[in-house]
Amino acid sequence: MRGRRGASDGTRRRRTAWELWVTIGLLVVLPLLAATDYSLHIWTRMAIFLILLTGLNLIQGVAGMTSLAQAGFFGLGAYAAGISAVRYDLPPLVALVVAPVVVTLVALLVGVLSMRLKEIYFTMATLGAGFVLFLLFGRMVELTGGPNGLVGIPPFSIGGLEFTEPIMRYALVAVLAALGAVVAHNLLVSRTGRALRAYGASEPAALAVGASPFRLRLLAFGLSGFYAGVAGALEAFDSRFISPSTFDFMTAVLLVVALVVSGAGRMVGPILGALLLTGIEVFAADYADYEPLIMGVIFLVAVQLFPRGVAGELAVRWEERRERAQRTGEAAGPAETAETARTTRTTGTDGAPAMIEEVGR
Amino acid sequence: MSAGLQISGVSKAYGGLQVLRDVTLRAPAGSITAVIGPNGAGKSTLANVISGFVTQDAGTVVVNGATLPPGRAMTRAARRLGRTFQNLEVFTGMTVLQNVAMGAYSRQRGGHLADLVRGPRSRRDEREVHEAARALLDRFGLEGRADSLVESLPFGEAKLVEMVRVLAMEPEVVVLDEPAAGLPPASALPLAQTIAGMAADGIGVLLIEHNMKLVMSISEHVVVLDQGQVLTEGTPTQVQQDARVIEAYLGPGPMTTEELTR
Repeated sequence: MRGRRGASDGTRRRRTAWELWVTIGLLVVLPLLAATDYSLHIWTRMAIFLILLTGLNLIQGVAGMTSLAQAGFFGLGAYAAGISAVRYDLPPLVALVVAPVVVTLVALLVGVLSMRLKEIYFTMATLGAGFVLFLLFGRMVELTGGPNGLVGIPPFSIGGLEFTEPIMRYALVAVLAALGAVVAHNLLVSRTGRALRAYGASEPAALAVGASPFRLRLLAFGLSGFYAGVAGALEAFDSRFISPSTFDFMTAVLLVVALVVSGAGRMVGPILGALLLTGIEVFAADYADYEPLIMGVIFLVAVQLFPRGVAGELAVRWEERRERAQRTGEAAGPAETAETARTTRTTGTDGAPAMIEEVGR
Repeated sequence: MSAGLQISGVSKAYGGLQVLRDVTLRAPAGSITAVIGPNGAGKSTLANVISGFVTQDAGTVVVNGATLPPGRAMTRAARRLGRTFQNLEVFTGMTVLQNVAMGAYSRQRGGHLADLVRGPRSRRDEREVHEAARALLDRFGLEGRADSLVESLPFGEAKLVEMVRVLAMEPEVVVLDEPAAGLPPASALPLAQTIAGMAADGIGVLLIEHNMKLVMSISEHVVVLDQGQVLTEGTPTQVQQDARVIEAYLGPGPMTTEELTR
């Protein structure tokens, strides 16, 4: 029994774990490849995107509910942290805790109001929430600095230790990004993640086994807000200046597109999406006006080539290959036991759908 | 109150159409009670009322003495009432093992937030659920399929997975909504054995079915619905000989029992 368990439930779980290790591995390896101040700045941006997308993946990828609020939540986190530090002189460490808490509460509020809606209306509600937040960032001038942005945000610090060196700034973000990936992985392989996915597949069956869609989806949405809050606070302390335009509608769409192109619902989707977003940001720095155009073309091509996202498509192809290999292995295998004989027969060796007559015995 | 399912005075209308009219029936633990009736008799609505997908206008659904809240499908699993669906409802994109493990959802007590850290309790819980799911797959000859995506299975096996998922709930009452629908005649026997196995395990089975041969061969008690009402009930033999049943199914005219059950 034991040995078999390792070989089977394990396969899927191990595969997800492998995706987690890729994510953490890249966080470690990338700065080693290029560790100039500039490249570290780029990797820091990438890791912030990773946190944002890991959160978005929970609601968008796992729960299957498209959220256009993630940019607004990102901004809310940034402003919550920035305002805490600038206007209320709270230590950055406290601000880093305050920001995700604030965003989570707002996400839960938006979620409670909109989670019972059908998916498309939920998406519209999140779009509305994103717009409201974006407007508030620009209008509440006394608190946010308005369109000119919030200046004078201190660097992140713990005690007297200031995180001003690029490598320290990267390390802070990378550690939190890795932690976020681990937590998301835990959720994905647990009963909660299973139930979230189940809801996307069959709502009646999920209800019949007693899973509450409202509670599960609210949890996923609240978590996506928490991640956005952490990412926002890190953005505030890293840039030390924030303005509304960073958190506009375009950002919200780019986040969704990047995740879908990379592989929504896969553990490795967020890191691929973060690399894509960073790549575009760097590449488009010289062609700033064309960023939407570049993203649009990538999206158009990607949905044709990889309808399940790059990661999803690769995983499916790999699985198919594995299954084929298994089947040929079975055929060529030694003396059939009664057990394997029955299994192969239920598979329908001749391609005809074998029915349950083989099974009930 | 005796063990099993007890439905009393259930009525349901859609607009002016009375779909169920004062339906009362019992599905005692450890036996198979069948509900038959022509198309439009209200069988599926009855299954949906029992499982909470449809709110009845009147009447109660009681499992082991506890009245179930009307129209709240989510509450049924905690009351150990499981159901299958006329149209296959499985969790696509998930493996067979994960599908079956989902059946144990309401038996797992750990909180969602605890899953974020996957503490020892969460892990132990998961291990137990997977071991139980694996044992069920073994029992139904699906062990070789554990890691296959459920949508890659032939229809008959996928239907079996749905039934195994219900068993993973450790149910006390099971409502089977047309389990033989879409299966070739050759599958009827193993299906009958599976259902009989449920009753032998002490589960109260309510079998809603079109296939008369299946119903007549395994049911202890048969309830005939016609136009939303209980037309008659009794043992399979009694029901088969009831002239009203023959008429409800085939219209008036001379018909032998043999023709009816063909």
